[in-house]
Amino acid sequence: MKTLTPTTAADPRTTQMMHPTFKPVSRRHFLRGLGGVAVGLPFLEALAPRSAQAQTAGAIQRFGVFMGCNGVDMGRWFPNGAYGALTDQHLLGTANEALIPFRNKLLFPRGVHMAPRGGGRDPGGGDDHGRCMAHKLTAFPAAPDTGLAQGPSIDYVLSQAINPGPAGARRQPLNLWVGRPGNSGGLDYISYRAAGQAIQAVNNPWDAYANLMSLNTVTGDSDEARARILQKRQSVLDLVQTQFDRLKRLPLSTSDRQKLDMHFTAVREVEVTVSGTGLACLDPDIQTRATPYQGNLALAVEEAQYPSVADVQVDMFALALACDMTRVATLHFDRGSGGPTFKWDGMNHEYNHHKLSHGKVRDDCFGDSEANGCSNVAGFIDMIHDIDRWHQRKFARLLEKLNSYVEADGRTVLDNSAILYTNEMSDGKLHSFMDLPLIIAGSAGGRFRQNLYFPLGPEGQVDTSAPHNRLLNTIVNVMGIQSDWFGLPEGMGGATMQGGIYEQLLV
Amino acid sequence: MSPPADTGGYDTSGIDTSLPQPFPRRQPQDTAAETRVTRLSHAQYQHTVQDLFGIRDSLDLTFAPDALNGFGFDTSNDFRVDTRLGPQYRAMAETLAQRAVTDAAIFARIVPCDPAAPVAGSPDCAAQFLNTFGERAFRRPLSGEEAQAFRQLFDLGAQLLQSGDPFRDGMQLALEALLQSPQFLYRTDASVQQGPDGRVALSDWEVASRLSYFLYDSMPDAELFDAARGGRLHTADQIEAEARRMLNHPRVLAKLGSFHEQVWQFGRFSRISPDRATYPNVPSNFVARVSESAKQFVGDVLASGGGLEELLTAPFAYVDDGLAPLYGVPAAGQAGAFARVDFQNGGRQGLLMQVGYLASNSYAIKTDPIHRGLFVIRNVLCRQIPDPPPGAATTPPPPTDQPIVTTRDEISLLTGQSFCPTCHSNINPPGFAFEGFDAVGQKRETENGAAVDTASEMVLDGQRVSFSGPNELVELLARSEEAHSCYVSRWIEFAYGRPLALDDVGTWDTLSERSLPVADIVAALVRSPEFWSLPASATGVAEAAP
Repeated sequence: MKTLTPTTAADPRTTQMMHPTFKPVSRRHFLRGLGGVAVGLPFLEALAPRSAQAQTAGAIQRFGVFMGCNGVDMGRWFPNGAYGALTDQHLLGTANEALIPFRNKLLFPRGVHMAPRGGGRDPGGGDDHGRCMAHKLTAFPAAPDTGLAQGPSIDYVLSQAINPGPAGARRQPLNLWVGRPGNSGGLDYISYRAAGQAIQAVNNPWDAYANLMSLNTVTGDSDEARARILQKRQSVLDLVQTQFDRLKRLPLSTSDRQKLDMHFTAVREVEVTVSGTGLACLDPDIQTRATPYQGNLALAVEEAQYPSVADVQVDMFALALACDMTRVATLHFDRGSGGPTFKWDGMNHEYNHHKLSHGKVRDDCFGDSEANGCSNVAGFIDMIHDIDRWHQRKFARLLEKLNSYVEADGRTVLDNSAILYTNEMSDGKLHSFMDLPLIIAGSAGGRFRQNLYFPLGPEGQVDTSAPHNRLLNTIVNVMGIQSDWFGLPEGMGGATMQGGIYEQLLV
Repeated sequence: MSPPADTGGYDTSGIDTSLPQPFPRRQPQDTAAETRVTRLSHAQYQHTVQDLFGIRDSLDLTFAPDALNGFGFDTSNDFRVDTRLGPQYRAMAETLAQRAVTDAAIFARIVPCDPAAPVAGSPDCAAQFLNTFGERAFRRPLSGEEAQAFRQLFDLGAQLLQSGDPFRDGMQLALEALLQSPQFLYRTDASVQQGPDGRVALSDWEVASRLSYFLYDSMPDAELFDAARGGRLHTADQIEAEARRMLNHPRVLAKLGSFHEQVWQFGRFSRISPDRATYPNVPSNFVARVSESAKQFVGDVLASGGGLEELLTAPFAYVDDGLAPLYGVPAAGQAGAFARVDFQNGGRQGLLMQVGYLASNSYAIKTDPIHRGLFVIRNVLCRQIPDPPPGAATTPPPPTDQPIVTTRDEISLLTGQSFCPTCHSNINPPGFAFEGFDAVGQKRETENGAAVDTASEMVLDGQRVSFSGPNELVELLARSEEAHSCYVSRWIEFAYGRPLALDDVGTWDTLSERSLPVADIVAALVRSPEFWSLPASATGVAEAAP
């Protein structure tokens, strides 16, 4: 594990870095992260978040989501062994074997079911996959005609409380994904700004990288130059505001007014900086790997590119959180009932992820029928297990990156984060929303218990004890926001939803 | 009825088996989701900026992608600017402004005068620039107040940017402000004058923008600006005449093509992934070939003045050497080139009997009559079918003594149990009609040794009709009121950028009366009051409290 150390003492920038009363400047600091990759990082001790209201004094907490689709091989995903403290043995032989190096930073809650429930048990629209996608981060049902969730997602809600930016228009989460959109109802989306307003995540790594790099938009070599740029921007903005005001004199509908207000709020802050310091955060290696996708979305969505795109997205997720360009990030792998045909990293499947999840090595059989030779070939569950391992290696990559940055308080960025692994489903063959595969990696600054496999409810296909909306509410509270309930309000259709938090998961 | 076994015990008691048969058409919304401010799509932004600055290269727009939120087309009138996109617009505005002042060719194109050589008696170059460029950027003349405000900003340029060239400094500032103004980023409809029917007619300038963004995906061209300036764009006849003039522009052909690609779901072609051992005839780059073939077919139909009837029944396809074996024709022409192949009587007709639709609604080895049928029901007939009930996808077929030989046998068994026929009696029949084509769209007479059965029946225009195979089905569809009405309703949604509403019924009925060439549909749409006027509610009569 490397700490943030300057490369040479003679460099005036690094001298400033070592000074205890560090004065923020808009210069780039190139440091060595793990693996020797030059990464420019802000000196985090000096950060004064724009609004500290929702963050405990000291370290900044981050929240991340890493989500797979089609469920997992339930027999080999969860820790193998007794509840309680984790040992390496718990993870050996499971899909999460790659996470052994981070075992003491992991929390495996067990026995949690999605709420509102799927399978038609609670009201709402969408088919099985549609519900699992829509409810997962929102804990709201989907509308019958559109399949879109009827409430905001946890990543968006948290971003509006803790991300940099002016009140009412804080930066949105960094929403990334790997895959190709299908524009069919809610299957493409996991994040929502509001009811029926989905957020399309970014699947082109170049676009995501270019936009992250442009977040530090105050440039210039001297204080005087920067001041002039800010003044210029303010003058332009004043006129743009006048133009907005002219429009608003028209007899506009409520919806039109909201549209314009949302837009102006998004631009009214002239000084768009990284947590007030104006520091830039670069990784030339990510830039190199993202460059082939510049202006080439068609390449980014090719199946053969899936593993490369995944790696760049993972690395960018980690960089963005480490550099405090955002405190909330999500990454999801393909779409509901989607998934590529895995032909890399030791796999050479013939059928796509979704078909395999139904045990159909031959993709044209229905259910478990023995008729017409349509029996499940024994190999399918091993293929699913391989796919699970592949995803968890990506999760391990993310944790490794986050864990390689040490902050001023001595904790790593991973320690100061809560990174939630979740999946559309648990048992993909059954389309089950119960006994969900979940991991919380990182303690969010010492709040979550670690190195633990903990039952919140009984295992198996039960939906009566530990609803996931309460887990989301736990995360919200841990991130500094006082909240009694998350998701569809009580009494409106989520029969098994609960308020409060899971105290058992907290230190 | 008890639910099938093995659905994980899901609660299926809510399934309504009394659903109306056949399924009803999608109903229009009560009120039209009208707006006075329609944000440019990212494609429209790209084209607009290219036209505004005379740039030929394509800009690397890394704008945050828009969620379509369930609207079927990329022409939504509801795109928003969130905290991702707002700063991205600013960054692009600053980049473009910088480029305009440093690139001599662009400067010469957009500055109509020489800043260093004032002409006595004329407004100075700054004023000329702001007026001409401002008018093009806002797609209407600047008001006196606006002109003054932008001039004030221009005059601050020298002091704020200090490059040594006061004109360029002022120009750069003004450009940044123009490109971030909502009057640029949105198509804005500011008219408030109500006509005798209560509706608010848009100004000629606003009509010009509406036309150009509908057909060009860009700002008005010189002719449209001229017509607007000359007050020649406010009667239905004038508007139709402009639209017809525009129809032959390549950009318009691309837009009309894009409509069909979305309606006919060409995007589904990317799922085509056949088992190559079973289908050795499948060429490399299958998806790309199939897409190009379908696009050229649509282009041919449009160029020949065709419409829905031709899209459904025209007896030809565009085939290259890779697709030729699948179509059972000799490879004609050179590698990579597509040539039109005409089929004899009884041969393939229309898009539904071409490889794209057939292969994208198939599995790797077998056909998928359920999704082929769903496409006809949902996309050709605009009928509303509810989502499958919980556990439907994991329900196995019931045990049977009967021999299950063909895909039709298998699907009939699977969807014939319990309450499944409630929906599948509607979905399956049109799908079965195409069983004479295999999973990669090749013709077949038998499957697993048994003769393929493509005969079925369905309700169309309220009558039960039967068909022996796909040719009869597509002819029936092409002559049906339902299919035409559906096609027209999708045009309305595409043109207006919002779901169909009750207000549109007049236009909808007129257009559905007979089968029209696409050009005539476009003409009828731009003539319609919904295209060039806003409803009375847009005058700001107090809305009911929420």
